[in-house]
Amino acid sequence: MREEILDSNTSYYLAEALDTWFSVGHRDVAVPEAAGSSARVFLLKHASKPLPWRQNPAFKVMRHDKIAYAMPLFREEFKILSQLKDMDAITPMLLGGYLKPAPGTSWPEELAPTSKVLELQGGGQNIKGTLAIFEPDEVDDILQQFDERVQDGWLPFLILERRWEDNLYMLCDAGYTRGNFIQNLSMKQVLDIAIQICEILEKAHAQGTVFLDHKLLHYYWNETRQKVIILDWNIGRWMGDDMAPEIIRDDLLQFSARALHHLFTGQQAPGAAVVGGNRPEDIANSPIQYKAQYSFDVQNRLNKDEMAFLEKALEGAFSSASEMKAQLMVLAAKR
Amino acid sequence: MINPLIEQAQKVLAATTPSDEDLLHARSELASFLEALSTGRMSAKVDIDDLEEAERLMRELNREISRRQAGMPSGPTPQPTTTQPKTSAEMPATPLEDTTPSPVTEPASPQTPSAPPPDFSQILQSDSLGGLDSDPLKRFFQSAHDPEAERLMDQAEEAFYKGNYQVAIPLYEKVIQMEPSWVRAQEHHAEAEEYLRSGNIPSVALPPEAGKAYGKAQSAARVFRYQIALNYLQDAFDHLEDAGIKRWREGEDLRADLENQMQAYDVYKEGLNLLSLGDLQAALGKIQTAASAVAIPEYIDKANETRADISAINEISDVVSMSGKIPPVMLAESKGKLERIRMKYGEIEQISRLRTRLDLMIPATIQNLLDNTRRLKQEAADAPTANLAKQKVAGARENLDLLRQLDAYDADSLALEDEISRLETEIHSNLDAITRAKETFETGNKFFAMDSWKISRGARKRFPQDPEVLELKRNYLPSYAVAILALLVIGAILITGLTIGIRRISADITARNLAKTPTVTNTPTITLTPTLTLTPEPTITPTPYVSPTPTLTPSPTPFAYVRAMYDLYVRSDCYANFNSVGRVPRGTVLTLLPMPEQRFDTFRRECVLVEFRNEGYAIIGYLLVQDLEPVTD
Repeated sequence: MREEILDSNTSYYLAEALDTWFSVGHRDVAVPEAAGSSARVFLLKHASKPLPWRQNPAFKVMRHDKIAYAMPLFREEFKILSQLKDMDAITPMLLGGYLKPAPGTSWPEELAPTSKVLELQGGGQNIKGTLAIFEPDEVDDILQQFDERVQDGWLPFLILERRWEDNLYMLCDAGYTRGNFIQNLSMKQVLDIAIQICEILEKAHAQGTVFLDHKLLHYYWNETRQKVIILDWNIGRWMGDDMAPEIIRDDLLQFSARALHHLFTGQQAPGAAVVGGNRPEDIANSPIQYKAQYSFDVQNRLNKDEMAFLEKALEGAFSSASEMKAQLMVLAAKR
Repeated sequence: MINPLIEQAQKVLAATTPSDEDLLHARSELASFLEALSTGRMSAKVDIDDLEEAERLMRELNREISRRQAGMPSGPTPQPTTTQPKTSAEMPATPLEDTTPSPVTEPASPQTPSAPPPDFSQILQSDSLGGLDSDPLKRFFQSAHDPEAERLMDQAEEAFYKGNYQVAIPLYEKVIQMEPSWVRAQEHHAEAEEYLRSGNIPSVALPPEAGKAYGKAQSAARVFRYQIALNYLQDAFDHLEDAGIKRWREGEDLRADLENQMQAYDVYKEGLNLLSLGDLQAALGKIQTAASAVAIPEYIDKANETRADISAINEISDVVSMSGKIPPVMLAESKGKLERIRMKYGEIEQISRLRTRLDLMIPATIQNLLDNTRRLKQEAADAPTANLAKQKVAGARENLDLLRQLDAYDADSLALEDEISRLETEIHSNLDAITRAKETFETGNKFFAMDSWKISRGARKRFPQDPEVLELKRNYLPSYAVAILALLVIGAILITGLTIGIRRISADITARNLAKTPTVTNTPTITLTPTLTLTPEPTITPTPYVSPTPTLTPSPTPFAYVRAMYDLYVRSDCYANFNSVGRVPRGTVLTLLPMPEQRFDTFRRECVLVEFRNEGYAIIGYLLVQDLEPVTD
C-alpha cells in the first residue's frame, strides 16, 4: 500500500465524469441511466506524467452520501474482481484502495460532458484528498481495513480499465435504435454476443460468482475483436463453494429477462428491473418468471426457434450457462 | 504504416492544449487510413492491437472535437441532457474554441465563444460526424430534417418509448406542424393517441415502472397469489396515472380476471371443505361453479374427480339393490370401489351403509365361486386343445382373483391355486414342446423328423386335437411314409433271408435225408457190382441154361467184412474232422463198401467206407483201417 495525493495541480486528479454518457459508433450519447446508485466514475489522470497504462483508467469511487448502502456492494466487488482477475472478458481492477476527501470537498453534478464546459462542470478536478492505493494482490488488506477506514471517512475506490467500446445498450435498445433493427446488430451478432456472455457466466459460476445485475449497460461490444466485455460486479455475489443451483438459475433468469430479451427485442422483458441504478433488493424481488413481448418488427426479426428459446429462458428453464450456451450455438448455427 | 498515425494521435491527445488544427489533422489522417482499410482500398496488413488502438484514438479525437464544437450550454447552470445525441444539423453554429482545461483550471463560466477558425467550419460541413461514413449509427443519425423539428422529434420519441404518451403527443404534433410529411412522427402520434383513447397498450409500450409492476402481477397470478397480484396491478395503474394514461384495457382485464379468480378460489375452497365433511353432492356443485367461472385445470380436474366418485357410489348402490344372483365380478368391483372411496373420504354414513349391505351378500357368492373354480380346473385338465385349457385356467384364475377381492382367500383357495399353477405349468411345458418341435422340424430334415417327433410326443398325447398338434402330425406324414417304406424294405430283406435260409436248411435236410437213406440208393451201389458183374456179361449172352456156373464165379470178390477193434464212430468222411454219422460197438462186423479211390485223413491214415446194418437202420461211413481187423470167416 502507498499513499498519494489527489490534487489536480500536482498529482493524480479526477477528470471528466464517465458515468453519464456512452459511446456508440463514433458518437457520445448522454445516458442518464448510466449513473450507478452506489458509485461515481471519473477518468483518472496525472497532472505531470502519463500513467503507466496505455490509456487513462476509470476511477470508481463510493458515493459519499450512500455509504451504508454501498459498503457491502464495494466489499463484494473487491472480492469478485480479485477472484476473477484471470478472466479476460471482464474489466480488470488495476488498483484499489481508499480516498479520503479533503474537508469541504464538493462533488460535481452528474452532467454528461457533451461540451467542454459541461465536461469541466461534471468533472472531478476540484476533488482533493488522499489516496491509499493497494495493488490487486493486496485485496485481502483492503477488505481487512474496510470497516475501519470507512468509519474514518475513507471512501473505497477501484481503478479499472476504461471502457471505450460501444455500449450494448446503445446498440440494442429500441429507445436509441428507434426500434429499427436494420441499423444496428445483426441477429447472428446478437446470438454470438449471447453465447459470449454465457461463456463469461459459465466461468464466473464455476468460480463461485454470480453477476445478477444483467442490464445491457454493463456490456460492451468490441467491434474490432467481435468480443463482449462486462463490467460492474458490485451487485454480484461471491458465493465460493456454496453456490446453490437456484442461485445459478436465478442469475440466468435475470440475464434472460434483462439482457437477452433486450438483445433480441430492443426492450427488457415486461416486469424486469428497469435499466438504471438498481439496488440488490430490486433484483431479489423480481418475478420468478417472465413473458416475452414481441413488437411487429421483432416478430419479423426473430425466427420461431429463437422465440421459443427466449420464452424458455424467461420461464427459468435453464439451470446452467453451458446448457444455455449449447442451445444458443444451435440457433447461431442456423443463421 | 499505421503506427506513425497512432503515435501522432496519441501525441496530440496527450498534449495539454492541442490546437484544433492538430486535432483535425490527426483525425483526418487516421480516418482516411481506417476508411481505406475498411473499404479494401488498402491491402496493408495491420495488427489487430494497432487497429483497436486506432479505433479508440479515433473516438478520443472525435470526442474532443465534438465537445469543442458543442460550445457552451444554453443556461448558466446547464442541466444534464436526457435527450438523444444531437445531430450536426441541430448543433448551434458556434465556432470551435479551445476550451480544453488545464488540470488546474477551475470550471469555466459560460462564455460567448469566439469566432471559429474558418478551416474547421469548412471541414465540419464536409464531414460533420467524424469522417467515417462506414459508421452505421452515424448514417442513421444523419438527417435532412429541420433541426428544431428533429430536436422535438427526439424528445417525443424518448417519451413515446418510455410510455409517456401524454407528453409525446403534443411534441409529435409540434413536429408534424413543422414537418407535415414526417411519416414516423405521424405514425407514432396516431399510435400514442390510439393507446390513450382505447387503452389497448401492449406491455412493451407501458411506462417501465408500470410494466415492471404488471409483470410482477402476472407472475404472482400464475402462482395463485391473487391478492399480491392485485396489489402489483394497482401499482401499475398508479404509475400509468402518473404518466397521464387513464385507460389500460389489458390491466383492466387482468384486474377483472384476478377478482374473478379470487372469488372462484373461495368457492373452490368451500367445495373442498364440503368434501372433507362427506357432502359430495354439495361439494361438486361448488367446485363445478368455480371451474365454470375460471376454467383452471385444477378445478376442472377436481370437479371431474368428485363427479366420478359420486357416480361410483351410485353404481355400488345399484349393485347392492339388485335382485337375484349378483355376478361375483360386479360384487368384487363394487367392493374395491367402495374401499377406495372410503380411504379417500373416511367413514361417511352413505359409504358405511353400502359396506354393510355388501358384506351380507358376499358369503353366498364365495361358495359358488369356489365350485366354479374347481370345475374350470378339471375342464382345463381334460381339455383336448391348449387354447381351451388356457381359457379354463384363466377363468379359474379370475375366480381366484375375485375371491381375493372379496377377502375370501382361505386354505382351499390356496390349494386350488397351487393345483391350477401346476396345471398351467404343464400346459406351458406342452406348448413349449410344440413350439420347439415346430422349430426343430423347420430347421431339420422334413422327411425324417425324428427329433421333432420325440419332442412333441408328450404334447401330442396331451392335446391331440390342438391345431398346432394336428399341423405337426401333418408335417410328420412324409416321415411316416419313409418309416413305413423302410420297414417294408427291412421286412422284405428279412423274408428273403429267411426264405434263403429255410431253403438252404431244407436242402440240407433233403441232402441229409438222402444221405440217411442209402439203403435205397445202395441198390444202385450194389448195381455197381455190375462192374464186377461185368463178368456176367457172358450171361447176357443168351445162355440161360448155363447160368448157375457164372453166378458163382464172381460172388466172393464183391463182399468183404471187417471187425471193429474198438467202439468206433463212423464218420461222414475221412476221418476225425468230419461229423459222426453213427457209432459201432467193438467187435461189430462191418461190410466194406467199394471206393472209387483211396481216402486218407490229415495224418495220412487210410480210411475205408463201411456199412453197418442193424435192425431197421444202416450206417454208412468211414473208419480208419487201423481200427479194423479183417474177418476171416
